[in-house]
Amino acid sequence: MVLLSVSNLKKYFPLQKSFIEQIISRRKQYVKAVDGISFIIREGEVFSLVGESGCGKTTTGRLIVRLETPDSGKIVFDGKDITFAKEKELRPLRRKMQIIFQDPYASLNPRMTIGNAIAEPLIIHGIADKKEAKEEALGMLKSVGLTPPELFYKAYPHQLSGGQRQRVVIARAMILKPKFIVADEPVSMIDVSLRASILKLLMKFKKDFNLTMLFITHDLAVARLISDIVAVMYLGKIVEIAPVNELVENPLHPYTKALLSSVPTIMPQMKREKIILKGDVPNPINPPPGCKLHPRCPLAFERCSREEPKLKYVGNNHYVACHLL
Amino acid sequence: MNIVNVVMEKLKALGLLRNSNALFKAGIIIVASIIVLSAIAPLLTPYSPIVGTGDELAPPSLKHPMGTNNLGYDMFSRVLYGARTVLTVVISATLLSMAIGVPLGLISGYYGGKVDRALSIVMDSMYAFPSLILALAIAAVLGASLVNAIIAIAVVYIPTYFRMVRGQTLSIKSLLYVEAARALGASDSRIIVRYVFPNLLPTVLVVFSMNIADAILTEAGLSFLGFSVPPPTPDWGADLRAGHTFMLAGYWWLVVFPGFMIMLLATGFALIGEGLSDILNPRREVVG
Amino acid sequence: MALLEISNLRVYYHIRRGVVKAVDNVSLSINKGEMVGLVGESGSGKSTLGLSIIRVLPPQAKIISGSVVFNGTDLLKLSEKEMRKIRGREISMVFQDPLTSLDPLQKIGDQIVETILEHEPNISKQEAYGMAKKALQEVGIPSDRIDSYPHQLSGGQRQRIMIALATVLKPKLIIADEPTTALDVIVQDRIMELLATLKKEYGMSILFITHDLALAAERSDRIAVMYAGHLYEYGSSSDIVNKPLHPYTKGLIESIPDVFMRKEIKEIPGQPPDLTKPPSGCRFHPRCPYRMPRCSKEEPPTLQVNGRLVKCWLYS
Repeated sequence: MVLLSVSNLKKYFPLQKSFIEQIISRRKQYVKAVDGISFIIREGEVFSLVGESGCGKTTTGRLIVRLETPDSGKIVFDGKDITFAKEKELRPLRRKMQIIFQDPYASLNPRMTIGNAIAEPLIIHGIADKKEAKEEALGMLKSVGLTPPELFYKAYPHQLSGGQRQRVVIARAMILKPKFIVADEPVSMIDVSLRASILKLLMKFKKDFNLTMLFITHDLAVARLISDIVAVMYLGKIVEIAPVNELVENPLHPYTKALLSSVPTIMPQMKREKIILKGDVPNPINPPPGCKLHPRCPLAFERCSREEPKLKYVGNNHYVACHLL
Repeated sequence: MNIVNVVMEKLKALGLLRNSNALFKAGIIIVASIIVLSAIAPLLTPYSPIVGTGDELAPPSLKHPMGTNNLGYDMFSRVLYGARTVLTVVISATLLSMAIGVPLGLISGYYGGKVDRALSIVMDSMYAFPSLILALAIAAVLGASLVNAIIAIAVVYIPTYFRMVRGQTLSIKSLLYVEAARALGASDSRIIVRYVFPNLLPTVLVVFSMNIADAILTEAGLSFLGFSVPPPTPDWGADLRAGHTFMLAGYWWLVVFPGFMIMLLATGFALIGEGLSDILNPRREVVG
Repeated sequence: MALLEISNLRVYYHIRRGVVKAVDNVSLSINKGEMVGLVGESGSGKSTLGLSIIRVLPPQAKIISGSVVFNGTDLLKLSEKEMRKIRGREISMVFQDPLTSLDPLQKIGDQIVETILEHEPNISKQEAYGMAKKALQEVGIPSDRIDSYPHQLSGGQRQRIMIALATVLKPKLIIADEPTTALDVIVQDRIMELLATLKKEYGMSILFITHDLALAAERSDRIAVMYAGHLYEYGSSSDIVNKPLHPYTKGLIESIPDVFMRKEIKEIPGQPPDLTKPPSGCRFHPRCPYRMPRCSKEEPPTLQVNGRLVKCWLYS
């Protein structure tokens, strides 16, 4: 059953111009952060959005939980069209849809105790009174491994380590038992040896609560570990979607191949076709015409500079946007 | 210094103080001492500050530790009771200022728009006036009395709180934990009360103490010019007013003691403000 | 003879809370023309070790004891004036954040020329410019960009300029402290390729400091694993990755996901220690699945096992 469906989603951020620039040129310039993407996520799936910085994956996550309003396109969550819904309509939906941010240090209110922070969603949505909320929060502290829970309940964020804070953020997101979680680079700012436990915690919750997840990361290794389906983004577009094993063993888009040949691994012998991209990622204000990758792609030909490729089905639940196929 | 420790433990419990420093301690000691001494004034001096003792212009002695003024009032008594007046006016005025300036700053900063623009223009214009002149203008219109002095001084400092709170609100509202609260479904009012305001509190406290220091000087100026509490209410600035003509004749104790007290109390609050500022923004120690 | 020989180095930080024993009795050697990957998490002491070599530590840090012998000379005994001759010329450093390491107000060409002239005052400005252009070309920056300012270039390009600055005088040793951490993976790969090329062409040694074990393993000849101020294992990359000896190394490998292996990851229990009060004996023992009573009492010696160095009681 489809839980989330996104169609042709677009978000352009206007550039701030200086006063002089505004007088001289009337043309408005935009950063095309998300430039027409479409995908669906089924219930119980972990769908990863991978890409390098500036590809639009974080903006996509924020659009889906409606921290930003799209410029055009459609977002349908659990049967409801939430694309342009106002805050009042969205509030009840926020019980089912939560987001975990990258920075555990910045996501917690420094003046709120951990216990209150975790209980907060219950109070906001009027689900429990103070006493019940406290009970629930203590329970959540235990299930994310922060014991003894009473001690952590009274603590402030600055007294906890990064890994512990991220567990608090997860507890806060899970206390409402949501159906869907957007996890935006949840372990990028955590020490390497502590990442495993956070990832395992997320996977445990996914299993126990049949969670559906949109997992945003630049780290292909993490995506491999946790995902069912992976979508690769480049300059605001999705260039390939496939089940994770299929994507890693049979990448079709040159960008995906380039990523896979650059990723560090302790098994370098597994790297196959090495694709080297020329130059750097272009300025998202002036993306290239046609296929966004064409100026850098060693396999580009004439059509690539004219026409933007569309996502095409190539079998095995695998979609690619490339003229080579 | 038990009182100092008690105050600090209280602040630590409120989560506002994690470590203290010398400036803060010094300031607390000064201010606390003055408050305590003025509270137990009847125990320290048998004289009333508004009743003549018969001895006029007597220099400092054992009987009159700070001498007497031209109306025979005991200066030591006037200094002790004067502290009550000054503290009352200044703390009431500052609290009133905060009560108006802080909420306005919060609303202006959080919601923005036309309300923000209108308020900002008004507040900026008021802020442009030197504090004493503005206070003077208001007190002159309202007339000299304790309540009017409080109002005049309160009005002067409203823009200070407004601007600071508005600025902080603007920066806090774009922080991640506020976005996270919004993503949880929190309403605007909840965000303002539980997320923005508590994080402003440390800065408000710092401004509060520095502000009182400034207000003490403004009140002294007002009463020196005759626009604060009417005589014979004990007040340091009023004593300066009454005594300054006698100074050239050599009667220094009419002016030096009240003057020194003004400076001491203002410094005490300023030290608290500086100390708090240091405590709340400690220099980071980086270890690689 | 090794190019760089660090022996029994101790570097402590004095902060308000206490004394942080950031590098505690570490010995490490680097040979000519080899890349050594120094791997560790934050707080392991790896950056401190790197900074100690060229003595650019922050004021709270003190080198307590030990020696850092470079080409036969103990750097710790040199005066600041003598050290300045070494920095940038014999040993240079590449930092993580090129944005703050480059002067935003100077054109990149001028910055390279300044470095050259600082160490070679007898070269003419023209000659220095020629060298700068060549250095930029070598790192893949078109020489017509020589008059650009740092903010006009991308993160990857800025890092290349850092490398150009670090290599223009052909130093014998480059200390690279997390040079690619802030970069995307494709750019990272190209920078690593660049370092490998320079290393091969000029016989430079590189001390590559990173938290990414896989990255170090793919590119380095040898890997040194640090934890809580101690060096726990040091050997060839393939040995370390395929047959890790130290329980921490093993734990690290098992806890890191890998793109080409969808495996179960196992977490290392516990937390990294507070370095003002490190655990007694072996600093890893509270988290070690193989710990023995001895481990909490005595600090393990560094032993030679199969051509590797391991600091662990399991191998005594």
